Amino acid sequence: MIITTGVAYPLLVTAIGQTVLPSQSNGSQVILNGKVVGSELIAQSFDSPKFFHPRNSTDSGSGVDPDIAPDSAISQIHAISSVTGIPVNALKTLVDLDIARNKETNALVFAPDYVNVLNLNIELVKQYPEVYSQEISAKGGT
Amino acid sequence: MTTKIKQSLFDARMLKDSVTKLSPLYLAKKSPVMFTVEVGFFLVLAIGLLPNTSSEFVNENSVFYIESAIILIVTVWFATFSESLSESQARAKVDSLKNLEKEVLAKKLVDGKEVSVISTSLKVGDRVRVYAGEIIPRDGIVHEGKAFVDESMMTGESNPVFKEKDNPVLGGTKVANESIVIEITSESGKSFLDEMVGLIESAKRPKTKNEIALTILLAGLSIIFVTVIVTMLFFGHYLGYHMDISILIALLVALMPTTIGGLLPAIGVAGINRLARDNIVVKSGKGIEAAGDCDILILDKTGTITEGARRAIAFVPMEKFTEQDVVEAAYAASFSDHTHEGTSIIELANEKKIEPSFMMEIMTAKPVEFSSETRFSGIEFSSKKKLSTVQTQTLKSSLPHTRVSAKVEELEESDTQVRIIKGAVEAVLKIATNVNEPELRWKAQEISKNGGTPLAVAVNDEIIGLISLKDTLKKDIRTKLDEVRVSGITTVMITGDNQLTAQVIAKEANIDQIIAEAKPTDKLNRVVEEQLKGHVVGMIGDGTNDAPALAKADVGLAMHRGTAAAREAANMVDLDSDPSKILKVVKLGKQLLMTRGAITTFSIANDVAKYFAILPAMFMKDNPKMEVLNVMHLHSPESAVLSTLIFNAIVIPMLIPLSLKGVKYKPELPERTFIKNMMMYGLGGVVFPFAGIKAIDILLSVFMR
Amino acid sequence: MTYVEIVILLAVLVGSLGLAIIFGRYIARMIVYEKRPLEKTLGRVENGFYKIIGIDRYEQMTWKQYFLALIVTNVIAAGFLIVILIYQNSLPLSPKPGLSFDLAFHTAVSFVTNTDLQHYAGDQQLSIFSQMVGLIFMMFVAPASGISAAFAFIRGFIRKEFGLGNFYVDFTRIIITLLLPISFFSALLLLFLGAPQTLDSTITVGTLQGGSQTITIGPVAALESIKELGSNGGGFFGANSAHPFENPTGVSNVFECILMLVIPLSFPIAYAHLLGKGRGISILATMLIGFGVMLALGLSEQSGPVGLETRFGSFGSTLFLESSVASNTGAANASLSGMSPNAVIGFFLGMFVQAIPGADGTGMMMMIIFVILTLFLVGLMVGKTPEFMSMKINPKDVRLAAFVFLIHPALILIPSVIAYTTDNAQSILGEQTTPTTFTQVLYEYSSASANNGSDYLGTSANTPFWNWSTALVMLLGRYAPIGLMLSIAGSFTLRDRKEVVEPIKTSGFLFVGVLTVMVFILTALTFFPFLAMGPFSI
Repeated sequence: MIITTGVAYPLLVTAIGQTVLPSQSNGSQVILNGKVVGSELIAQSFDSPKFFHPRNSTDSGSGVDPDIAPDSAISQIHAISSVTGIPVNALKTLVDLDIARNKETNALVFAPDYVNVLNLNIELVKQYPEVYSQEISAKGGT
Repeated sequence: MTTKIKQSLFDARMLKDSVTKLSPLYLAKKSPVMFTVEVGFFLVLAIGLLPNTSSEFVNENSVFYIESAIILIVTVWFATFSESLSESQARAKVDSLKNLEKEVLAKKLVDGKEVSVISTSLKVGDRVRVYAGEIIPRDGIVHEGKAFVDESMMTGESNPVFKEKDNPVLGGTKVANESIVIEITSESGKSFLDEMVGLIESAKRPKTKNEIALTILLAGLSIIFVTVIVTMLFFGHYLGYHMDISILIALLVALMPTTIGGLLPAIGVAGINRLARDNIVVKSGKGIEAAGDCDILILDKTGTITEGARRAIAFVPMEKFTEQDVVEAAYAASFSDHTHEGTSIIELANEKKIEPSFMMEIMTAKPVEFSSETRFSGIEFSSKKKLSTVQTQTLKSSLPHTRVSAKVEELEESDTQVRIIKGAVEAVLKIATNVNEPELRWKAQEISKNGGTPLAVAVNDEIIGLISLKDTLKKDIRTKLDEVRVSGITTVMITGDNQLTAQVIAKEANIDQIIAEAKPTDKLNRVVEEQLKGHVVGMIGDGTNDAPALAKADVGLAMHRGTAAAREAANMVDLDSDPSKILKVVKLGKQLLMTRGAITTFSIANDVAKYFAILPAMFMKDNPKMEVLNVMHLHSPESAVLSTLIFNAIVIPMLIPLSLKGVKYKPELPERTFIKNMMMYGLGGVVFPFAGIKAIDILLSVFMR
Repeated sequence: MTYVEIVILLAVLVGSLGLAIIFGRYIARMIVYEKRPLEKTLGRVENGFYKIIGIDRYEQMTWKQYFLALIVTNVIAAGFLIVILIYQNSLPLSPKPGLSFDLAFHTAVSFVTNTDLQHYAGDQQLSIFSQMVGLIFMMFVAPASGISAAFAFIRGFIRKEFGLGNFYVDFTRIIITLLLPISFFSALLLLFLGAPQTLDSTITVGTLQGGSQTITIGPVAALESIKELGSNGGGFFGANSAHPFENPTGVSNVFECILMLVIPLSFPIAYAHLLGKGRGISILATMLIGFGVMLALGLSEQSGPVGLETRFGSFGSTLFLESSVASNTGAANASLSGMSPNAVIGFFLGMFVQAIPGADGTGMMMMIIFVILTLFLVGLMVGKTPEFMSMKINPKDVRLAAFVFLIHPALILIPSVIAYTTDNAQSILGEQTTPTTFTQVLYEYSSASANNGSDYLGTSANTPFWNWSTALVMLLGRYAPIGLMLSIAGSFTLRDRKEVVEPIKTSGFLFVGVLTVMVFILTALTFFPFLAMGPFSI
């Protein structure tokens, strides 16, 4: 029984997962420019004023909540816009796009609207590489 | 007797008894709930007398503690009082029955001589002679002689009952005439009255299964509440509340099922007592309990469902004859038959205003007696030569001439002996063959189909027609049986009649099943069979044949007029010997369980209001959030506690009448009974204490101001 | 409720009830050994197991033998887990320091009793080997034991003098042909929804801002599915189902709710197949009403946002937690301290009743105990000796049933008092006792006694006192009721059955109403003051 339930079962799930669903199996890693920059499911800390910030780790149930409420994202837009020069509307659109994408993940109805901070920030970097060139190169340098 | 019971209501023995029962040792054994209340009393009293025990958990003044303590001990006393009251009532009833038996001198036969002894010294097998006007000292059977015995004091039956050799007699009854020798059959103190006393006395009373189960449940609830209260003391303390031990004890007592815990013994005794008032002596508590569960009743047809006496209801002629022919022949055949059936035939004929034309012959005819070989009876005469022609002529002309009278005349003239008989169809067919047999059988069957018994009437070898005899249903039996049915009880009628007849009676009386053409062993077989299927079987019986079935049945009600063996075997004896009383027993059994259930439900439902009365009193001072719970707005914390305790106490005496009389039982679908009782005692149990406690609080606030 | 919330709620209810209808039928067949789909193949696999363990599949056990076999199996499994946890430092797959004996004992007891109270943080303190071979294994053993006990219990009312079945056979069949297949497919679905499944214990990534981030990972999907299905609730991560790897999206949240509820809800369906449609459905209705009350309490007040996950929100968290506590799973997708007092009262209600619908197997058993007590009162009210399934309820049954009821409050209240009088509560929650900290203590023992597993204290309760005391409560809260209930079943199986009509039908609206009132009254009368002193006063 130990072998069946404790070894065979998890190993079989692992084998199938690694073959069929490698991305999920390994923690839904997000890749930017060919490099793994995090897991879209795990909050990443951001201190630069150019980025959207996640919740304080102690505010959530898990401590690694990757998401913020739409209100919280929108309230950050003005500050980011003034630091980066990215128009407020553009930022707003990106937030909305992320909300829409998350809605899709949740089959439209199964979760409230929320913003995935890492995905949103990656989108920022992708859309405005010039603004974030510093961060990217710094990363490349390490 | 009624006055005696009333006197006993407040007699000294009962009061003393109720106080003796306050002993903690007694309560610990008998009523865990009341024992806990009493422990609470001692604690609160101690706190009241020694006010400085603890600064932390004693916050009220000692007057409050003494008041609470008094209410607590009164609560316990109410409970013991209810038990003593019901015991004393039952005892009074038994005493009144027993007095007759006890205080007599008996004339014991020793070597043929009469020796006066006290009845209690008699042993089984002793013989005593009882003269007219004397009281029979103990249960026994008649050994010698015949006499009428007055049993009115035991049974209410006003006519003296005839007793001869081997008939059972009951201790305490009076010989009306002659003298008889009685052989004692019961031990002193073992007559069924004594068995009943054992059920009444608290010390000896065995608890029935349901009582035990309920006691366990109540004990379980009590333990839970004790745990709740004790842990509350600690939690409250740590949470910074000013916890007062006496208020906690008050809450504990209020929450515990004191009402049912206090009244439980009284309810059981009251059941026995109420049966005794109906002249049913209970020998074991198990019987009453089973009565409530009884779902099959096996009833004898004769005596229970029907009057047991068949009457003529119709005359059915053969094709060749008219009704008048049959009436004439039947009249003649019944003329010298003085049985109930015979008389009823003559009566029916008179009703029809038909009289045979050959009355003279009938009056002077020789009776043909019924014998078990021939199984018919009637009359016989040879010729009218003895009578004057004139008389005959007169009779002849005054009455219309029927075929039967013509036939009789014809036979007389040919000097043939005339024999007119009636009897069971088969028996008559043996000697009277001049008949269209299929027609006869068909008509006989028709009568059977309608629940009658057919008797054939024949003049010599020719069958004239049939008499339909029918047993009549007892008055009200249909209503009684309908009630039984609604309660979900299946009724089985047992009878020696054939299937057809039995079916008709069953239909008329609304009986569910029948055992027709029953043999004596059928009763026992049926009881065992039903019990194997899981039914609870009730039955009545009086004969020695019935004893095994009575012993086996869950509820066996023996007729006191029956044999000693039957009375010995049964768990109840009806002194009135009224078989339909089994229905009463079933009803009472149900009431008994219902009363327990209702008061338990009431008791538990009360807790809701009690929480709302006491919790705010306990917590509100220290925690304003608890204000929400204060729906009752009682005068003060102290008055809240006292009024809850007072309410808790007085509910017990308030419910004593209900415990003694039992919850009202109406035969109806159990679902309906349940909903009604739930509304009354469940919902009522939630609402009533809100009103009651509030009312007491208003009264108290007047004094506490 | 918004329409979106109604859709989510309906998805959970329809999903769990729909699956319960399928599995209920299947469970009924398992109880009476009827042919299942793929019977031949399954039978062959099972026979292989019987041969290895060396048991005679036809041997029938009395209630005592059955209970003993259950205890022996559980003791062996718990011993095995203790060894793994203590010596995980010398075992393969990302070894971590071994646990202290009291924590290892507590954890083993917690998992074998289907409680899954965790005084450790799985992601930090356990190796992948411990999680997989130790905990996943135990997560099959515990529910299989509970379900086996319920099988035996139900057989007690169906069979006559034929034993209650064979524990080893039931246990094997339940794992191989019920739990394992469902968890396998559920694990794949969870994987698809984003739960990771790997033997690695961490991944390290360079962050967007140029830093580096270490992410704990492991065979989460495989653990998560049996964790929810088996009413276990012990998370891979300390954050339990709030952690995005355990419960990545709103969809997985709904799916996990369904997984938690499905087996408990299957039992009344199985009961309907075996003992009468109306009866089973009435029990199901009572369970759902109870669950409905819990939900209504939870939804009556907004929770969070502190302590809750953004992707679930107040509704998703409340729905998940009420489902979890109702099914005695004890998984949490939010921090309990983020939940509103009303929601917490709902949790307490679930743990006090333990049968709306309760844990896998034992929830059903508990509900039948409520049915027996209800019938006792109902019987008296209509003037009949109470009966259950046309069998007389005798004093012994009432005594045993009363014990089952007595154990629970005693196991909650008495240890709580001891925790306070010995200063152990104060030492981890502060000198000043407040309604909040009292609630946490009461919750800890309620959760332990109900074998629930959700808690406030978490790793802060990793002290010898809390480890030992809750372990003891969990043991008594698990095995004492199972033993008592099996003995009730054992005595019923010897009893005569009747062909007689019940005086009051154990089905229909009336019965559901009475049973529901009885469940609530008995619970409320016992626990009302504590709810008033605790969550109510927060």
